[in-house]
Amino acid sequence: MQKYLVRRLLNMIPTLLLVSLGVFALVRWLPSDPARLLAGVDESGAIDPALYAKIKKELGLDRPVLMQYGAWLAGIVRGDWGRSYLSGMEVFPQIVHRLRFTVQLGLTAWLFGLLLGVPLGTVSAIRRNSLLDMAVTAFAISGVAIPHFWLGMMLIVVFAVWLGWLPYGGFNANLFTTPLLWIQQMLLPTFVLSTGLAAILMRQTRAALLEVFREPYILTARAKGLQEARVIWAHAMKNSLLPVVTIASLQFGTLIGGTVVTETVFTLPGLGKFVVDAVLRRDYLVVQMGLLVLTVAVMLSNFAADVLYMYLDPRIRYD
Amino acid sequence: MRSALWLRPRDRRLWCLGALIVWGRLASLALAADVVPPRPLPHTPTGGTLTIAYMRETSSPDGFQAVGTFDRMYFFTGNETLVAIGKDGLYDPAESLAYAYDVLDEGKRYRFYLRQGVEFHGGLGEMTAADVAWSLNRIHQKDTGSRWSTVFRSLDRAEAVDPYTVDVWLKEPDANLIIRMFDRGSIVHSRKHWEAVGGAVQHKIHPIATGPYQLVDWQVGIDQKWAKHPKYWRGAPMVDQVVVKVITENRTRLAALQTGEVQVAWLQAEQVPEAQKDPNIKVWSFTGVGWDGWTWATGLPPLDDLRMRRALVKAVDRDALNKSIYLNTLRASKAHTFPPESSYGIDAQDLWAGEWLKFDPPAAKKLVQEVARDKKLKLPIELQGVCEQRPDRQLFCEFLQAAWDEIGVKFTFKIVANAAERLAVVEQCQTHINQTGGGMVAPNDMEGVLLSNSTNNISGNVCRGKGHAFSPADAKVQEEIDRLLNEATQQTELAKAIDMYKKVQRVALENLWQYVPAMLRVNYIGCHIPTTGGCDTNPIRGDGFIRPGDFWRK
Repeated sequence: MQKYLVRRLLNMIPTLLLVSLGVFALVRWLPSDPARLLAGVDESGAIDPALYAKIKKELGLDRPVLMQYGAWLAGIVRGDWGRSYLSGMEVFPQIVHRLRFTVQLGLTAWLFGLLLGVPLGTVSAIRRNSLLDMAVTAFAISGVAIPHFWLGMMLIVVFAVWLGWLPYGGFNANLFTTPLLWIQQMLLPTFVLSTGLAAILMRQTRAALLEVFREPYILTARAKGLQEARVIWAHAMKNSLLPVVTIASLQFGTLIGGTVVTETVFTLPGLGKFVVDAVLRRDYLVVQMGLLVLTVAVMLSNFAADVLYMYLDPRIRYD
Repeated sequence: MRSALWLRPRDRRLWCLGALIVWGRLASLALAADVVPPRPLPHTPTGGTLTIAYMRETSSPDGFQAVGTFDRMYFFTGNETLVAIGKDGLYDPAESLAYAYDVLDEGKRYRFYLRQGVEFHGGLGEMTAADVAWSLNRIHQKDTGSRWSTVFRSLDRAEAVDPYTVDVWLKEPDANLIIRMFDRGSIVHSRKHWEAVGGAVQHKIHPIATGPYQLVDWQVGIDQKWAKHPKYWRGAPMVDQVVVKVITENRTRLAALQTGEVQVAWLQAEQVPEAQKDPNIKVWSFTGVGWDGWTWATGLPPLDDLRMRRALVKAVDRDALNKSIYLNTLRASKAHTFPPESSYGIDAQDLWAGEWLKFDPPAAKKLVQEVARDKKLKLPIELQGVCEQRPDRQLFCEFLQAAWDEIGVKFTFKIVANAAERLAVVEQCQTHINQTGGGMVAPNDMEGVLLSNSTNNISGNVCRGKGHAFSPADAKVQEEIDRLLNEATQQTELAKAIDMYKKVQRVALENLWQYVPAMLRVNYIGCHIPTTGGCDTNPIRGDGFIRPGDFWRK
């Protein structure tokens, strides 16, 4: 197993290199030029050509593209992630700061989604075709269909503007020093971000459980006179969890990479919003590093899913 | 007793020297302008945090290095210019670092009289003439992050005369010098701090200036935190901390204002009706900070024909445009520039009374047919354009497309991400219409478009010799505009210069030259009344922006 894990980790290196090349090419492909923006294209549209040339040189954008790519990679290896073209700040601490928040949000939403989706899916499967099942199914469909953007807005209007129970957004809390504020500030974004995951998990749990319920060993368990709760929790749930775990683990990566809309609506200091803002501002270095970090996060979550899979299903052996 | 007359020659010389020094000092005091006392802040300190929400991130809290027009929402929290702009758009000595100035040597030298006791943030000492001279001299030094060399092209150098007097020498007279100084080019920073942090790169993140608040933290894309400057020259700042938040999502920004978590917020035009319904919110506006419209390639056929330009202008119903796209929140322009009640005391009533931009589709259609016939062009006449990818701007271009379609003109346009990309397309010299806008608060703002050597004059400068050529009649128009603008700049009195700018406007209007405004921009600021002081009267200055130092917490 150890061999497999090491191999999986080593496999990430060429993938990362490929992604870095793709990200670099994509960013350079954007029809814009940060030097132009920096040279001060103001409302009057005036640009000083000498200043423009100077900025381009300072940013290293006058060099051949391949050299720029090489310098960027070398910088990463050396631990020098460079400075934002626009703010002049170092990229590394900014990304770390935002990643910390995005991971918090992603993890909370993931847990919330699990806690909401799996029980609802279970109840729905047990009470198949009942009113409750229909209500849960409707919730699941809404969870997938309602855009996060709209849902977030509605929640802000209702809970912040009309009722005044929760803040409109923003984040300056700490789970350990200001836990109440943390909950207040995280509640709405977490709910918005987790609805999609909860809906998917609910549908998956329901389908998996229904399938397992038809298995002969469930019939045997019931025939033995076991209590229904024990049949469900000890026999059915354990075997139906495998696909749920797979989806939940893969969704964690998606959550981390997909927080941007929620972060924008709730004005949260996350990595997704940071990267999108950087794209709009053509801040190449920030975009490149941000995307690379998000890619690593997704790859690591997939890796974790694989490890978890092995742990949950003893039949799986990778050696 | 010996009198002074009988002093020894050496003592007599010393007496004379002493008398000369005293006389010199008294004379200079007599000649210097009267000190205008600082205007006290409008309220006693209330403490607390004032939160301001804005829609986009700034490029720097260092006003001198901040490049965006709207960055003023941030950097005026702590940065101050040598001469401050008042709400009437004029020089306000009571809020300026220079309480007075003289125009000397036929407009080629300006002498600024500085306040005493103006302290820099962070205990970096008193602002002196040396700091001011150094700050102004940065304008022409590229390694200082300056983008203002072109704007201050008339500036030669600044020199400290004494600790509180600065002379600014010009290469040629410039009637607009003071107006140019209202913006960030004349922000005064501490030379000592600039050098201590190693120059522009670090100063861009950690600026030290003289304003009521000092930057303590900047999280890009999140917020800027400014703490009060305990030694502020106008008195103790009214709140302990100012936080300028970036809330890009418009609805969220309004929600933040409605909940009172934000005291002052920048509002988009489409949010104004909803904000006005909220009894806790007071909305203030400022008309004429800029225009939205288009510039056109006067030298690119068929726009080299004035009739064609007239036709395009007459086909656009500005009131309908305002209603349908801007939800009646902007102002339909009836003249080339300046609203009638513009700042700087410009009376532009006569320009607005004209009918140059009158909506008249039948006349427009007739003109297009005439041009097509005379120039042997096939109808519909095809025009290319470029527009920015922003809902209002895209809709604007679609509106033009529909309006011109009615008169036999087929308008197709490229969509680009931002102003820089739009300019890049314009520089290819293939586009007739360039959807754009501009600032127009100051009377000299049109120089950026109309002067033939301007970087924004498409046919006159950018595309000269690249397929663009003026008709003989149009060449004369450009010549006349150049002459008037150059002459205006050379005036020593602003009033005279403004008269000449109005003449320029008339020539430009008659010939529909270079840029055509459709709408005048309106800046909107919302205040949460229960928690915010400073909103009883319009808090927006003559440049269309607020100063965070003007507000307090209730």
